[in-house]
Amino acid sequence: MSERPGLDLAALASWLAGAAGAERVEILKAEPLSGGAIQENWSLDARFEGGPEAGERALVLRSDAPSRVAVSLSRPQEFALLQTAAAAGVTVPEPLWCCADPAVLGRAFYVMARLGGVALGPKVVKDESLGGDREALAERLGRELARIHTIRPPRPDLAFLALPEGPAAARAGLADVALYRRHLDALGQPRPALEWGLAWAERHAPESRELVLLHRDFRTGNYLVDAQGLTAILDWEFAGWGDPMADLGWFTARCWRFGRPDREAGGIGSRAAFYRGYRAESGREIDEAAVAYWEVMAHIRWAVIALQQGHRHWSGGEASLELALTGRMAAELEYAVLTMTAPETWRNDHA
Amino acid sequence: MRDRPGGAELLAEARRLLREELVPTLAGAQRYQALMIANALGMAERELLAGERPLEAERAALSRLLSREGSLAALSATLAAALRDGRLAGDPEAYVLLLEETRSRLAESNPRALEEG
Repeated sequence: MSERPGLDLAALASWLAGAAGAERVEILKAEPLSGGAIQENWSLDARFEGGPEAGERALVLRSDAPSRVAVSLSRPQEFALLQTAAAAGVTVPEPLWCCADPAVLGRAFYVMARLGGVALGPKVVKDESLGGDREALAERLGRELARIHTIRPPRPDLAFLALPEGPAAARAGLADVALYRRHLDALGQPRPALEWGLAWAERHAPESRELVLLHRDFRTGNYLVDAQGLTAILDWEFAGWGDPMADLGWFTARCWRFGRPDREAGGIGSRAAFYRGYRAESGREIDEAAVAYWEVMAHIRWAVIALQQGHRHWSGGEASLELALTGRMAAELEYAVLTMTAPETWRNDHA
Repeated sequence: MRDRPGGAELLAEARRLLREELVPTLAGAQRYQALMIANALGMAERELLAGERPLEAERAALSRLLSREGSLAALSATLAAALRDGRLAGDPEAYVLLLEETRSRLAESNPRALEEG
């Protein structure tokens, strides 16, 4: 990955003391975590002297990375989302303090509680000693997603999230089609296979029935599990208002099953268990045709993101073999899109 | 004349050495990085072996579908535009072309995904 700017530990300790109402804070340990491509994460051990937090705490600091994907939220916005999700009963790392002032560390950041567990998708799927009973985990994840979907607009604390307007309000898929076309145009390279999928998606977008908070990256790889089960839902930077079925389709999409296509709920459990948890917690019926639509969209979206990541490498901005190889995943995602949208699946009334 | 072993043969042997000798001695981030390198070498090797043939086949197929001549980049952009504006959206012949072209790219980037699909 790219070079990380260091952390000014003295500035951080002094700011933490003020934020936590402590007399003094000592940073015992600060280690960079292998983080996302969008933000950088640090694992911190800190000793608080005086004030309500007195004692040692295991923390994670998240700050913006040098190069950000334009569609993601800022750290202070992500902090507001974590607070909202925690209040709605979603299992998240406790959000503690947020610093929007770039003068302290050179970039905005927030601090949350550090939890044990593993998030890495391939490991979570393969290592059966993690996550407890897998069907129970799939059901629990369904319940967690349903809790996220209890958050509805209007929410003054989430005013930074734009509400859909125009035709996109009636059919959420249309907004995504327009967005992905703009992203492809910005990349400046024709992608006929994705254009095929987008044309299908434009003609088959289901009517949106509700507007709720979507996590928009709720999938295996973005939650933490330990030996007992789930410890936290992570990675809130893509959240926004939309149709609840979109989040279900992202979770169940084949591209997020990490080598276990037979386990349709994120490679870890059955679709039935995931749906059972979602239905029980939400009382909402699941529109299975809409979920199938969003699974196609999931592959299109992931392909667009993969192309953007590859572009970051080959455009000379950020040399990284990981980004380069992610870019080359576009072909398998395009292939999946094509196999799901053969001509005979196109509805006549739209052809 | 280039000397033997050629580029693809060198990459194949480099990949074998990496996978069979180096990877087993590595752990954690280094192991992951070595596997990424092996993956990249494999892709480059398959592209070298395939040469320009898949690109020429794609250009010829596009030319037939669109009934016009042009460079691969120009024809590909024409097809993309015709899919977006609806002229070829859902068209079975365009679909066959896209499926074959994507399979051919996948045979280079990740042949295993082709077998599973």
